[in-house]
Amino acid sequence: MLDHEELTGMTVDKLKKLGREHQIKGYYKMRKEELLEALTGFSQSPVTEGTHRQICALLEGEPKIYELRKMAKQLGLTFQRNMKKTELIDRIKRVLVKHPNGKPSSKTFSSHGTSQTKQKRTQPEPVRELKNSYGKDKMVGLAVNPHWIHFYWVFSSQTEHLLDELAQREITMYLRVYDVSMIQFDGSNAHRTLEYRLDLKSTQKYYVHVPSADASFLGEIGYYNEQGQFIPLLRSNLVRTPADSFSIKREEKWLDRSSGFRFSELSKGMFTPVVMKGIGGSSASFEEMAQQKFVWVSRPIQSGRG
Amino acid sequence: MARGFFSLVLHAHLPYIRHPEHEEFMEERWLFEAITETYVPLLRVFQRLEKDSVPFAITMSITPPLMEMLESKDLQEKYIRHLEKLIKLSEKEIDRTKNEAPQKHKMAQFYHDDFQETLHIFRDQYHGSIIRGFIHFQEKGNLEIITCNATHGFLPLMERYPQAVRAQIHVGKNTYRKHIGKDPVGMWLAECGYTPGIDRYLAEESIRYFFVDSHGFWYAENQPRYGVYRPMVTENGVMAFSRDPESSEQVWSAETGYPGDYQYREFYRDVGFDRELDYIQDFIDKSGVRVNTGIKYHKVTGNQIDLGAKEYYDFYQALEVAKEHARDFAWKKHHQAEKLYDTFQGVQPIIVAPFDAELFGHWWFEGPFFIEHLFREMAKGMSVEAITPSRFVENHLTTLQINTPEASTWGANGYNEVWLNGSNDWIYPHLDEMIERMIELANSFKHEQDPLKTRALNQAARELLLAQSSDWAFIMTTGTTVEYASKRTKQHIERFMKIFRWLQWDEVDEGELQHFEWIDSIFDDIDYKVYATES
Repeated sequence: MLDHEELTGMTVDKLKKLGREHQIKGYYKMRKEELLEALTGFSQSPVTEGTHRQICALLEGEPKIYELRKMAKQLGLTFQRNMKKTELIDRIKRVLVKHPNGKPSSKTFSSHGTSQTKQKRTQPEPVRELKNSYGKDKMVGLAVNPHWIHFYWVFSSQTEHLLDELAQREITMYLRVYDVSMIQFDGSNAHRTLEYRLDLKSTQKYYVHVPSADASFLGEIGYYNEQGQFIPLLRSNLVRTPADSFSIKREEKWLDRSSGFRFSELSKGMFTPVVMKGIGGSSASFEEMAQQKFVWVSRPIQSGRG
Repeated sequence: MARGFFSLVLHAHLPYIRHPEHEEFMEERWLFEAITETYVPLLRVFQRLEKDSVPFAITMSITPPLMEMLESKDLQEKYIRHLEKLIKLSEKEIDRTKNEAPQKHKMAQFYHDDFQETLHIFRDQYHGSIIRGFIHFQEKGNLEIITCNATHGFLPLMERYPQAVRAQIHVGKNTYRKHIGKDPVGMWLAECGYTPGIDRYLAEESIRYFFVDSHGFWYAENQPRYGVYRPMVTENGVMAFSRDPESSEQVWSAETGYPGDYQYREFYRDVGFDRELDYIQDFIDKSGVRVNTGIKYHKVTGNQIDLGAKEYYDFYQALEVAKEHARDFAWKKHHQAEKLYDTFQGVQPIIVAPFDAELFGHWWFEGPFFIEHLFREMAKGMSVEAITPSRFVENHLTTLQINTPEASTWGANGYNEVWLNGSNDWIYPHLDEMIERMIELANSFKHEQDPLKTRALNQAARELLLAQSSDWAFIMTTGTTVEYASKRTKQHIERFMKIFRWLQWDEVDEGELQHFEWIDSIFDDIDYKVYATES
């Protein structure tokens, strides 16, 4: 394997030449980072034992292209959308070659190069990779904004076991998100249900786009039994998405501070017009606009400071 | 009679970065830069206004971690060493610039005098404790110091756990009392992060008011009759003030805001990067990593001008621009207040303008002078009067709307995206687990008498609070110094989990506990029982 630092300084043409010499598949259409990765055979992110197992499991089965893409993404590999299955497998395999035993690569941090005078303990604390699960079953939903919810989940070893069993029976797992605004949810009365097919071995979190702001949602993870009935394994907390429009209530409640007297008045709406910065364009690239959404006049991003 | 009021709110915050185990530590510079460029310059502004009997009213949230750092003896000593070095560098620069452009030489002299004065104020006038300075102006009635939730934890993402929110707020209040000597009247919620219900915990701690972003009011439970220009009171009896979007845009906006003026100092050209390594190496990080020193010779010059093509900066020219901007802003507030007063048919609006304190001075070098001249302008008899929230409530608020603001933050796009996205979502399973375990510990050791175990329990609470600083998630999103933020997060998680195991197995390692207490020594008076479930 070649020295990463030395390669970083080279031009893409030079790297491509090296790629040819080293018989790297598809070197001619790779971008710089991809070439660097291919030539040095490593990705930036460390491969933990868990990930290693995941990779093996994935490659041993008959991976779908999207599963491979997801894995490549998870490993921090750069790849192109049009890459073939075999090429992706090739890239992922190279990670295994670099980390043959799946040992966690010990990430060391520089101690900012200062002399350690008053230190009571000479052994610096190692910063290890954290484990993913604490042996509990948990599913959590967190509102990101009025239209997005983040879910994450962790499993107890019992549930892990059950999942393995289900996987052996080739049962597909789903994340379901229920719109349960203003109702007592009984498992079947949701206003609407969003469903996502998931590989729970590689996915422990998900962002979902939900149709309504100012609404309540519940997440579930589960599968369909032979009778076509959905069997939930975990259920999340209730998540409320914030409102993104004006209240339609026609009441104003008031308090007189000196007397403590409360009274109501009919609302005539806000006295001040609300002016916001809108987003638009003369040629519509909606994808881009959707990403920009709504730019608030907000705090500037500061370099490295909270 | 004033047609309306203007309330400037400065939110001063830095994450708790204190490394007693290192003689010098790169990220500790954030505090030092903020002291030199923002906190001391603000005190100097207040002093000048006081001397000239110019009335002014400012609200300032000084967050608990910042208070703890400002009051830490070892950081005070480190700061003095840092500043003395900077003075030495400015001496070298005076010498060096003799043969360079005269504008540079003039500025080198300026920096030298400025740093000397800063050292004098910090060391001789306030004896290292600049909080004393702020307290002085609070006592004079010009400044209202408020607090923030304990470690600037992002409350909307922990609202599922009342104990976690309660602890953040309780510790924020206690730390204020410890350093300021009285109870805080208001609280700045970290990142303006509010969800309905948080006001209940504020009420428990007798906090009287907090702030939310504009859309928190616009989309409130009922429409607020006066928009963002009058406070509302929640059903829990806490008042909320909202941010005026116009003031934000006039000052904040990247394109049209004042700080982008071409005469102003350019932040990104600094001798720390411009000078050759041999010359500068004693004044940058010991590892050789170049850093900002604070000595800068260039001005913004123009839009989209290469850093290399920037022209020389002249402080005195820039000061004139700052005065002009202050005048412009004062008049804008004057007209805004008059217009709102008419629209409201004789009800006085309060225009609330919150900013990060560090914008003034650190990012926008001329910012403190802008503030100074803003109050000088307003003192010339305008329709708008500067006021603090408490004073406004006391004197100008007879009736107010009962209402609940909507969930909101002042982060990009107005919600939680900055603190919850693909770059930082990995922290939440850990933070949630820590909260659950902390509650478990507090409940099962509710009546613990053993001093060692009590210490361990308190340290566990500190590690949790430190891990919850919104700064770590913020840094992961912005992509600078991510390594440090991840490391800090992981270390606090690990230390917490270790302490948890000690308590679980009844084998507290006193030596290591002492080490944790030393390196994470925030909130010495903390009581872990704040996490216990109410019975």
